[in-house]
Amino acid sequence: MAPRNAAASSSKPSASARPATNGHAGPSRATTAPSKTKKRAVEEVSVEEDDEDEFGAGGSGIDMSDDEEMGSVDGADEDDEDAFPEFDSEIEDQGPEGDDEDEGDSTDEEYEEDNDEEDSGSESGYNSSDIDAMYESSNTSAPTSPSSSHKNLTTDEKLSKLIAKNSIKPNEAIGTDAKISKAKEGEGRMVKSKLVDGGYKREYEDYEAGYGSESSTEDNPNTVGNIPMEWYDDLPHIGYDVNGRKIFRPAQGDELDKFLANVEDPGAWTSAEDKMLQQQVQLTDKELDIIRRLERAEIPDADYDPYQPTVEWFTGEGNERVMPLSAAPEPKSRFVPSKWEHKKIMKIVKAIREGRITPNKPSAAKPKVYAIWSDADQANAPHAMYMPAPQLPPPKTIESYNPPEEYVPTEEEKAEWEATDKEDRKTEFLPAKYDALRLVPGYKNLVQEKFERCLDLYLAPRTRRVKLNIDPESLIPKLPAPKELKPFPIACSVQYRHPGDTRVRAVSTSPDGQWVASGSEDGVVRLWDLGNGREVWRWDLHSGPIQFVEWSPYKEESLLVALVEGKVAVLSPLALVAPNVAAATLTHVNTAFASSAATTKIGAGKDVKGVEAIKWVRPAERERERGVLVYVEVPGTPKQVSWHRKGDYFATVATDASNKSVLIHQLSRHATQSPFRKTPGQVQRVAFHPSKPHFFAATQRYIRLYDLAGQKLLKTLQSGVKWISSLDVHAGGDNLIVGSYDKKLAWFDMDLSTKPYKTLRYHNRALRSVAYHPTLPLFASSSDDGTIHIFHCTIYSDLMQNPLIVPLKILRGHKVTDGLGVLDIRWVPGKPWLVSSGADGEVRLWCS
Amino acid sequence: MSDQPMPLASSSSAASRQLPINLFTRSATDAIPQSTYFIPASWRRFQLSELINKVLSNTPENGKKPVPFDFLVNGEVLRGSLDSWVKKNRGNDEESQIDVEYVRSVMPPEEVGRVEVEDWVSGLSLGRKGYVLLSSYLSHVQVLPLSSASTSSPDALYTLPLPTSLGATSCTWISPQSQTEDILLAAGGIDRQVHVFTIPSLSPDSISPPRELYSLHGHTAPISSIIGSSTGRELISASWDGNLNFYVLPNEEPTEHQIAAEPMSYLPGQGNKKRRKLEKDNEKLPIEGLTDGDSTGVGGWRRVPDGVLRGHQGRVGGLVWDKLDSGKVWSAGWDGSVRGWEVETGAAGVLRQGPADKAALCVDQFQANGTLATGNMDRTICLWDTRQATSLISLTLPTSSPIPSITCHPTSSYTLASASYSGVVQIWDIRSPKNALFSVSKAQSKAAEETRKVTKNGKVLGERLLAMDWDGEVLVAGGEDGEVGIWRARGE
Repeated sequence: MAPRNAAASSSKPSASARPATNGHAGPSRATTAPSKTKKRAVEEVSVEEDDEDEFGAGGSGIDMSDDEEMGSVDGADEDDEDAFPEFDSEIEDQGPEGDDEDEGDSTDEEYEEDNDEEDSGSESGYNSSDIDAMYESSNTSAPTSPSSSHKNLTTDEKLSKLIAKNSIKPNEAIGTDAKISKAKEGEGRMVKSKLVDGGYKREYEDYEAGYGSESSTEDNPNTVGNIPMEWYDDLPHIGYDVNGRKIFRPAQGDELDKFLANVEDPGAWTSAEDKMLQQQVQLTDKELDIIRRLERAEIPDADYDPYQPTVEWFTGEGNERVMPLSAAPEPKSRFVPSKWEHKKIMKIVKAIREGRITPNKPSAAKPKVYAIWSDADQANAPHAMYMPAPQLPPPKTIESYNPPEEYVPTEEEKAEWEATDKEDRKTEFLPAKYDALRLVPGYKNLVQEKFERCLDLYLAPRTRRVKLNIDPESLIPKLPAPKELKPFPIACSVQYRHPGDTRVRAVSTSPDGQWVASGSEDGVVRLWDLGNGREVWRWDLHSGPIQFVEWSPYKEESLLVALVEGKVAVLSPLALVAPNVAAATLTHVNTAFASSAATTKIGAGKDVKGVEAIKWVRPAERERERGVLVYVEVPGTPKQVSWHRKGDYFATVATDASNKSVLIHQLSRHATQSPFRKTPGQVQRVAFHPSKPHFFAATQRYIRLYDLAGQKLLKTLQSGVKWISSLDVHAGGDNLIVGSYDKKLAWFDMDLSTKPYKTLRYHNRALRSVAYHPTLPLFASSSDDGTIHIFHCTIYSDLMQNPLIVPLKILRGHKVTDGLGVLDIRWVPGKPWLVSSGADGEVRLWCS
Repeated sequence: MSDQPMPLASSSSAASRQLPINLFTRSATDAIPQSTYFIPASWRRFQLSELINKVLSNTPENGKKPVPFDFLVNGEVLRGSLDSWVKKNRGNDEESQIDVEYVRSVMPPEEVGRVEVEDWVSGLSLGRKGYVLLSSYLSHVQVLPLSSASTSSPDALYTLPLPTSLGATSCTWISPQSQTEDILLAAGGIDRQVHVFTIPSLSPDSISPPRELYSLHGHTAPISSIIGSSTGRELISASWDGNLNFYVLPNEEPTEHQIAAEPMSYLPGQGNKKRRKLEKDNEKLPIEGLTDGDSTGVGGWRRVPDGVLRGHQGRVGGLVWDKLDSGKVWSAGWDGSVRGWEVETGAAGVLRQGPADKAALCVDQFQANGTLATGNMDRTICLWDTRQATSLISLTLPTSSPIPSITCHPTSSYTLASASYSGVVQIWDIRSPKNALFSVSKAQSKAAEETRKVTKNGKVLGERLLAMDWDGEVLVAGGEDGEVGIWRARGE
């Protein structure tokens, strides 16, 4: 109890330092009259003694008028060491209370208050008789009751002790006069220092530290905390003090007492019940003032001045701060949008997109009635992130208590099982056979297994595998059925049989759709009747494999160009065509010969360096009789020829002829130009635009579109394939398809982009040839895998509508020989028929 | 089969079920009373045929020979038992009545011989009884007596070379059967001309040599088909250029050409000397199909067409003279159309435009009802109504490959024969359109195939058939393998 005494004694000076904290003591001190206080204290002591006689140990009703007394009284009840706490505190604190009462116009309000509290006590379930009974029993059980020890002290003794205690107050000096060390005053005693040999140190008397007076616990001896006090309603005590002793319920009067107290006591209406101590507390002036202020909607603190003069610390004249308060650079977060906030928002956005969060979703109305035991409507649906634990496999036969004989291990197996390490065992347990389930002993590994399972579940990271529940059919674009897009080639109808096993590299159909020209590796260009596969004409060029064959698209003439190594041969089946056509053809091709005396003519484009090597050679007479009209000697091996639609110009590509790889030849003038001074790369294929004076040149990866008239590059299309093998331009001129050696076909919509509109990959091997049908909405691609794929392609005149591409048919029939499949394909003009040539030496006509 | 099943005999054995059958025919002579017969399910063609013969009392006792019948159920020839048909098509539904049409059976063709030619056979004609007219890409026309065909080495009665070596594409008799002397025949070629030859007679001991009488010019593309009129004086040729040229041959041999000869060479500065020299060179060389496009012979009197029938886009596949109306000609072209022409006026009378990709390679007409049959590139045989235009194509017979040649039976209105690129000759009954009555191909002897893979001209031999003809008794077909197969095939 010593600390408590000290606290009580030190309360005064600390209260003076901080008047606002102690609501009871503060205001009262101003009007304290010491003499009066003492007198009252004596009175009270005597009263208390009477009370104690009456009530036994617990009758400290008067004392309970203050918070501190409660603890003190309780402490006094059981503690003999410190007999006078109650007086101690009573004198200090009761005094002020008494002053309050004085202010409140009554001197003998103690009794009334007492009654008051007894009433409230009875209200909460106890009356004095109960308490009597209880205290009687406690008295009998404890012979050395605190009250008996209490009684041993006389009033004088109490007083003297009190005076003695107050006389040694150290409080006023500490902290105020800053006299911290008392060494100079010679206080304390010198003792030998244990640390320094021969040294002395001064030791002082211990003195009681003055803490506790401002502690909030001081106000409330009850330590139960902020709990509903009705929990103690059924108990005789209302809590515990700091020492764990019970604080008994103060005696409370009944309703009548209370009423009387209200009537008689003029201060009753300014009192409030302290729930913790279950007694009426007279509100202080300050508290009343606060209440009054609150009622008037003013700031409750009377000391607060809302109109304090502004102290300009950092503003105003002379206070401007030139430098920032801190030298630290401006943090990034001030001007960079927060990544984490963005992440958080995006998380929400994602959840909204995925439908996990529905903004402004009307809360689902709960059904009023539902089947409690039904599993169907689960009350607690698993939340979005719920992840059920993986199921254990169901038990097997081997785990049965009565497994079939074959599962029961033999002695050797048992021994082996025992011998192996626990980790190496195939099964965790030894199957055993029991006749009845009740004979099965306890499973000793159960706990271990459960633990491991829990460990697994706890440690193993679980991920939710999102199952895409998409109907695969719905992903396929809605395309018309191939049946609706008839006609297109379906089956092989005619074969154009080449003797031997020569590869047929090139094939071409005449513009009137009557003839098929094929160029094979035996160096012969053959002309076939399209309808029945009869070879009706042939040109043996005697200069190695025929690389390419192409009919002139000009219908008034009958011309075709065949490419061999170092030569371009212009051919015409003169005997097979009408005389007027033959004459027109000859006139066209031979006019330039007539204008020049020489049989060889050097390219007209002399200004271009290097074209001198290109010669237009008149073939031997016998060859000319057979329809070989002109040879153009070119560097390298030309691989492809492309005709201009008017049949006068044709372009050849010889990839190995460095800067003369692309040549444009003019038949009527026997002139050859090299359009590119510098090669734009290894040109693979060229094509004339079907309607404009534009020219396509495909290098390995890019297709460049040149304006021949303006002599400038118009566009560069990025194919995205590794090596372009073939190219065809749609008759409309806005779309082109590109086949590549890396098995892809790229469709370009030149109005759309320089990137492919579609890149299709369906062939298993390199593409060799692609071809648009000149009139029908069809295109085809052939590949080294021996197949030809037929596609429907509708190109809408509406620029906003993308071309419709529908795969129609895979034509199989060509055999793959030496890794080469279908080398060239051509459509038959005007018919949905396709002519293809293969490495197997076959040329086939595919009909609808 | 040992016990003759009686007609209308109720089932004696418990196992045999009975099926309700309605037998009918379209032939007036073979009709039996209309009724529903209950017939054992196990019966086959033979028993059914016996039944009808019994009903018609075509029995030897009556002095009549039994006629074999074929039975068509739902457009399909009954091959097995009725039971199996029901199982296959009706799923054991024995209750409902089966409509069975019966027709006089066509005997399967029987191969009687073959003729070997040195190059692809392009045209065949059986216009004269006992003789085969044959054109080949060897650029000649041959007249072969059928009687010698059975022998191993048939020698041609006449071999008429075309002036160019590009090849003949078609041939026909022009003179009617009645004319036995100075018979005219025509052959069209890749060289865009129709060559009319005259042969003194068909008797083997004729002395005067055959010669080319006329060269009919006018086409700008190879000839695809020629037909002569019944009078033997008119000729219509169809060409790849889409025109039909109508020629009237003069009764008297003319004395001058109607047009100048086509230039032999278009090269500038080439005179006759050169050409003569070339010709001399050619004379030295053996005939080699494509080594030259020049004339190898003198050629006949050059004539121009007396009328041109224009209308087809692209190739004209085939031509047929209307078998009922001699003033009318039907043509079928690669543009998918079938056109009827009034020869005299040159007017296009009827136009039946089918799908554009249904390129017709050949056409023939049924005598009885005038229905046209075309063989198409899209592997079908189509029957075209000529009279009423209610339906464009009345029937389509599916085949496995393009049909380059088709011949309707001269008298029957249901049977036709076709040759296909797959090397099969098929005989069809149009009442049974699902599959052919008979499919025959030339029995290939392995040894022959080994030795002959390439013709003398270096052309690879294939199995394709290009031409066929059928006169109701004999069927000839030939093509890429340079052989003309001859079958005996009757089809009623």
